[in-house]
Amino acid sequence: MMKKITLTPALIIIVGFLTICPVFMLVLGSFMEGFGSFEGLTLSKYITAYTDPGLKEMLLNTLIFTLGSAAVSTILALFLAYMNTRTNIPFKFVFKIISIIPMMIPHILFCVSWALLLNPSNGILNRLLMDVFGLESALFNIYTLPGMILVEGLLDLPIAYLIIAPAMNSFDVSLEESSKVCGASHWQTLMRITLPVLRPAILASIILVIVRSLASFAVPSVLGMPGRIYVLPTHIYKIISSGFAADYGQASAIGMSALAASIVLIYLYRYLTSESSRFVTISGRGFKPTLIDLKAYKYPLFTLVGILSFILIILPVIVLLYTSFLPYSMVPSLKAFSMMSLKNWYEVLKDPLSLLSLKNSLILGIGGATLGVILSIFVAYVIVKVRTKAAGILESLSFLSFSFPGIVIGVGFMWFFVQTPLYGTIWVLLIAYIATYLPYGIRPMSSAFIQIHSSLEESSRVSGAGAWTTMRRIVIPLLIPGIVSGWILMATMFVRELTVSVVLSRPGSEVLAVQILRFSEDGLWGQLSALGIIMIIISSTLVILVTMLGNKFSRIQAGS
Amino acid sequence: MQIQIKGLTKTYQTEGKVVRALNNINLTIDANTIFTLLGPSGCGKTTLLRAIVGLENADEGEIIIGDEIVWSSEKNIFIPPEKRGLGMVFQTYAIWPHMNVFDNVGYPLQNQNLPKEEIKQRVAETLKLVQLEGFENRPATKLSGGQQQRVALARALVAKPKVILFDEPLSNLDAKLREDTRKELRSFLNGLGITAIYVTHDRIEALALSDVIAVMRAGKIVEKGAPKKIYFNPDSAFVADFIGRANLIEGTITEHDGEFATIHTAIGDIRGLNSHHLPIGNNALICIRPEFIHLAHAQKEGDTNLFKGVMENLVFIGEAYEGDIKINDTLLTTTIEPTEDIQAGSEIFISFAPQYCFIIEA
Repeated sequence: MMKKITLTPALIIIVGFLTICPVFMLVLGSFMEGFGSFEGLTLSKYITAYTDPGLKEMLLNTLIFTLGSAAVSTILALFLAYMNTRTNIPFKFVFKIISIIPMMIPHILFCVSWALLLNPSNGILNRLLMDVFGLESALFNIYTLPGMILVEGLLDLPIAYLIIAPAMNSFDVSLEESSKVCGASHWQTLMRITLPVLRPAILASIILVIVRSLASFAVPSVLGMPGRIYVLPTHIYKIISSGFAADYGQASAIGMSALAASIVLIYLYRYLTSESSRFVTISGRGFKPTLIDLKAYKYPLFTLVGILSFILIILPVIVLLYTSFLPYSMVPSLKAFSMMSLKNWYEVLKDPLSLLSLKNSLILGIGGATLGVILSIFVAYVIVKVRTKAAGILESLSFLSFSFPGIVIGVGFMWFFVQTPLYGTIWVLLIAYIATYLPYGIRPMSSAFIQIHSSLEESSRVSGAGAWTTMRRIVIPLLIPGIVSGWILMATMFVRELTVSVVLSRPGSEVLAVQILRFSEDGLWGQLSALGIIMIIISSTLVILVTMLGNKFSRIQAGS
Repeated sequence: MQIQIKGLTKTYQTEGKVVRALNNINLTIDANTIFTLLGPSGCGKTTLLRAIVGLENADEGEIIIGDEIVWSSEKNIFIPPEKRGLGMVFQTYAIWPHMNVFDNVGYPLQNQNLPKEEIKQRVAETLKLVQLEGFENRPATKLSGGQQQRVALARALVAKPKVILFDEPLSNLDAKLREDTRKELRSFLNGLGITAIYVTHDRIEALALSDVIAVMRAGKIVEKGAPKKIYFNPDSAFVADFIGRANLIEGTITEHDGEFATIHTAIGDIRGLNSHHLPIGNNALICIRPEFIHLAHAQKEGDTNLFKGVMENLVFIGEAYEGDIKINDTLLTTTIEPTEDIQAGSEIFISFAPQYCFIIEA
């Protein structure tokens, strides 16, 4: 008991520091005249920030961008989940891949590959189409709002799918069957029963994607900025990265709106997901639902899914690989293939900055994920098993950072760390990463804890094992799957982290994604692609390695 | 409305094994009867029900509801469930959580595009029928298990279907409510004069509710008949055991006169009904139900079906004693009136009337 009493406050202090500190510093900073010193309160930053003539357009862009992305990914997710759970569409394993793979391909690379394909001046696909159809100008321009919405929608598809697919899966099919017996057709049943029952999940998906796209930096920076289409994160980035002195005060003042909107949306999301448990219907028997026979539509629909997964997974990798061997971007041709060389790879592997960023990202990925998972284990333990009032506070605190737009929180931490000797070191990034992504570690861990029914622990205690032995022999082994998935999630997120890093990374603490952004700003597509491929290899290796390790552990648990 | 099922066969594969869910089922369900499909889980009863409704299709055969062929493999006819005009109560009730009671019950009528006033009136009537008057605006999620079941029943009845089907509708209720609902449902269905098909694995439910019971096993109907016939004189050991508790004793038939026969077993000669007219010399089973075994106080040794044994494993369960009587090395399970004075380990005489013991093929 002693341990529980001291553990909870300690965790509240740590998590409180990680989540409240940047917010507090952001608020404070927004009222400051200068940067680095805290003297003289002023409203001038707010006045400058909110009287900016470009503000209205930027906010409108943000609105269209976030809502559009939410619509694209939710509709696609509904389609895919329905196909997977309800129809006899072939090759269902593809759906699982779609939901995992985008974790391996960093968002910024995905954006870059689309820029390489569909930019208006020399996009590979545009060039191809112009050649084939003899067009005068490019057919598509990815540097537009629709282009950004499409790419962001595809990037957020896995999140939407992960929310909608389980809801679709646990759906009691007899709700639909009884509708048919009552005389409703397939279509009527879909519109009047299936979709309304799924409404909480659909709304949750829309809200979560809005929050994610509001925090997204990769798409707006790679695809929005070349066309001068600014949304909140890039607007803030513009304020702190251009001019002689970065105006962190003004950035903070604008960031307050992004933060407030995100927090409101996240709590709405939370309300909806708890609401949806009300809708959960328990099926009395594991009766396998009759799959809808797609008949003649079977293969056309699968082709659609196939194209989607090709676009999501294979195309970006191919484009990057192809570009990494070329001196400049060009349409695949005999000439292009004859000009291929390893020059870009040599240059990247000789470039001290790229090597440094590679090293930093690896350290941050492995070290950060390990620390983050350890913290998550304790936090999840208190949230799920201790359940005192203080534990409730901890839960709300740890959930808060789920809503943090990375760039805003980066600015908040900037205000804090500039006061400390840590400023400019890799430690700043480590702390900020853990603060921003802590919920992603806590979530798999809490669900793992929930599955460990207290009677499992109690019977160990009754059998004569102490608290520590119980933890080591019973709890930890049962937690392994949660630990593994939490670690993978955090490590891959840290290796590719862009939004927080873009603010906090300083000479000496460069990371991979920021280095790639620099290459993209300088138009060094070849080197970018080479470094990007390295990044993909690292992410994928992490995922595969840890998954294998987790499998091995669960086999040991099973006793074989 | 009469239902005919002809040569219905369905197989599917699970884990490499071919399972015959329905094995050439031929069945006629008479109009206005309460017909029960009874069997252990996996016997195919639910598959058969779902095939009748049209939620699942068999591989071969034909289903005729009234005069209409609703499904036929040979003639390539498939009438989808929404066009079959049936009512069904699902095991989970399948009450749509996003609608209130009115919308749930009125849904079948809305699909017929009836005028609003009529829908309103008929929903009110049907709710009254299931004793849920005035529940129209109650959200579906705010209903108790029993109320959900009534809403499901109202929804199945509101469109005045030709046939109503039940898929284990009582299995989600607790024991007490289940008993009450059983009785209510019986008199309710009798009053409606409707054809009802009821699927269950609960023998008491089947006995209490049905006009006709069909016992299923491994995709086949093994016996069909009135509840009393199936209980008192089933055709097979499987049905005897499934429809009630049964002591099955092996033996050889030594004597055969008219309806009765004597069978020689390990505990001695037993007389019982021989409705299947098994000849002398045949190996057979005799079935004695525990509830027909009585303590014999006044008989003398040598009487028909009188045996001496030792009371073992005796427990008192309130409404009766339950225990085993050991005769030689054979144990007979028995139920004894709770008012008897009896101890474990005591020697007792028991007897059972020949007309309640029946001889079946081994």
